[in-house]
Amino acid sequence: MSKVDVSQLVDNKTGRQSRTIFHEQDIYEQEQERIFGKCWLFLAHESQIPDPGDYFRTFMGEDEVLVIRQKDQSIKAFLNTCTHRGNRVCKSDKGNAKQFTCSYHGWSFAADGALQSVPLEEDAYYNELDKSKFGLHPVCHVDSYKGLIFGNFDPDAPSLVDYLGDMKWYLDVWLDAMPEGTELIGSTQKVEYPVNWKLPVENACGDGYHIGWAHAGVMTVATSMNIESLSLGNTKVDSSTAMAGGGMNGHSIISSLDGQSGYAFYPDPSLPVSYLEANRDTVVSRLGDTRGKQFWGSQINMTIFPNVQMLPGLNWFRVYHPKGPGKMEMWTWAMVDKEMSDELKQTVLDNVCRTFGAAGMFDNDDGENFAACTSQNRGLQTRQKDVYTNMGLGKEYTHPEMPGVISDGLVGEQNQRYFYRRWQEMMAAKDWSAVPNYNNLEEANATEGKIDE
Amino acid sequence: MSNSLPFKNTVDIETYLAFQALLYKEARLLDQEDYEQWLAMLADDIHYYMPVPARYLREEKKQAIKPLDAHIFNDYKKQIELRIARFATNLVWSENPQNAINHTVTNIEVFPTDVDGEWNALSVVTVLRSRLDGVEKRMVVSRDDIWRIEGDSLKLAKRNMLFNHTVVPDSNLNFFF
Ligand code: FES
Ligand SMILES: [Fe+2]
Repeated sequence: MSKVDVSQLVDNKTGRQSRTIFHEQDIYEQEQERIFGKCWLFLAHESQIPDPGDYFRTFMGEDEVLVIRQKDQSIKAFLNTCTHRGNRVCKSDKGNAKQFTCSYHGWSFAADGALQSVPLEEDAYYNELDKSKFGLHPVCHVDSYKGLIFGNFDPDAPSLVDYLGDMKWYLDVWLDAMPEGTELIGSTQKVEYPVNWKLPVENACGDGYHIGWAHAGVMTVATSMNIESLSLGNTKVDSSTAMAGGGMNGHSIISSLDGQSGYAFYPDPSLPVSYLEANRDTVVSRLGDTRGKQFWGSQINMTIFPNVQMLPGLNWFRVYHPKGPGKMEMWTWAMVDKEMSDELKQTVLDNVCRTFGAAGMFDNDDGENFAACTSQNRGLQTRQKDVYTNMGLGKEYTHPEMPGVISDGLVGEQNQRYFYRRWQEMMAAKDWSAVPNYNNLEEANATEGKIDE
Repeated sequence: MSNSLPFKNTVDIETYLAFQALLYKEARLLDQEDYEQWLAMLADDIHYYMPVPARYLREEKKQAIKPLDAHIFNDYKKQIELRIARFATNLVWSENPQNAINHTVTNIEVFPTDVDGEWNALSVVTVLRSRLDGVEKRMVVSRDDIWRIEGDSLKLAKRNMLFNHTVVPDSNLNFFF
């Protein structure tokens, strides 16, 4: 199949995107190959599969995979498809198993993927089947970063730590703030949306702009703390009280800098806020003043390219699975610090479900907007027009301590621009050697403009 | 041959019909978004609960619901009132224009409980939601209720729900079951 030329579909300098990227089937197929086939994709949290034989069924792009904890505590992942005729091997969402037996002809696979037994092996295969050649197809790289397990289909992909790059400095504000780290709690909350997968990602990347307006109803009734960098009805904001960081190989963050507003949407934030204050010194000693005092506890959105988002404070962790250009499934969990008391964990889980769950009062405002941003592009005339993320163009700067390209405020579109720049870079590159690396700003400046050449 | 049944109903026919009428009325109030009257049908200590469903192998079903588990609804009166207050702001854009909704209540069974003045009512509610431009969403929920006599009316004290769908099929649940 010839490749789609993406050079004119996104323009980072003007913040322009062609609407075709939310609609065209061939662009979608190219995303499966060049983004979901090459990037590190979230599989599961280590806390979801603690014991040998524990498994979790999930997706990497449209490919269904099975993530399994091994006897030696390492983790492997396989395509969830039988090597005989292609049936699904495991149908349960999660569980613990010694082997996985296919429901079609009964082939049975061990937790390490090896084909263990084949019915009628002697009578019908005359003992001539080389079972060693028919193990489950492995995901070639599986690695963890501070509790988060990722997989990668590309043998030539950079290592996971290199892939996360500068973003690790920010990720650690949650993943490494407390000595015991984090865990995901509750079963997976899954919602299907008639939405292109990029729209919710760009939204949580950096779109503080929509919060005061799209969520005006719930903001009116459920805000218990003032966030100066956001305002109800978008009447005014104080940009100096928050930051956006983007350009880090597609990963990004927006954050308030007050150290507690993450809990502003709790009806009663006293329990989480007292947890923050009781542990503030520990976190400062581990992460330093900037991250310990200004970031930890703040309203934060973090994005790991291409499809993972985590909001410490609101404490949700989310992955978006593409299901065709006009459909995606959103999976949400509550993520908590292991050190939190059971009471606080329950409070956090309740709040996650009530704000960003299936009947979440915030989330229930977003779906309809994303859906129409997708469906309007079915119109041939409509999709020949462009859409823009051009707020605050040219206001980016660098910061002596904070990695990435920085802008002021939660209300901005810088991170969305860098998300689409990365999308374009990945879509244009036939292998990783053609993908620019922005792991420090000097390099970023050196490679700036490469796409436009 | 006698014309009477060889077994006793769980409740007398009057009680059964009263519950049928009650559940139909509740369905109508929800269809009409008459939340003021619906709230008046709820006991002050109502617990309105719907866990997140998941698919496990039958032999592993025991792990299906854990103490710390995610839910779609886990509301007491305060939280229900908060959801209603959100609708009442008229700032929930996805509900404007109004979505047509029908709660069809079926499979009603009524049982007496060990507590005086309290009944257990089981039902299935099928919600048909007609959204913009012909989009229709259908959701099925089984309900396990406790209704209690308070003064001269019955109040909903507890509703445990099972949502049939492991993947929620609509982009919002801006309504009640
Ligand atoms: S397809 Fe799995 S055993 Fe035949
Ligand atoms: Fe939103």
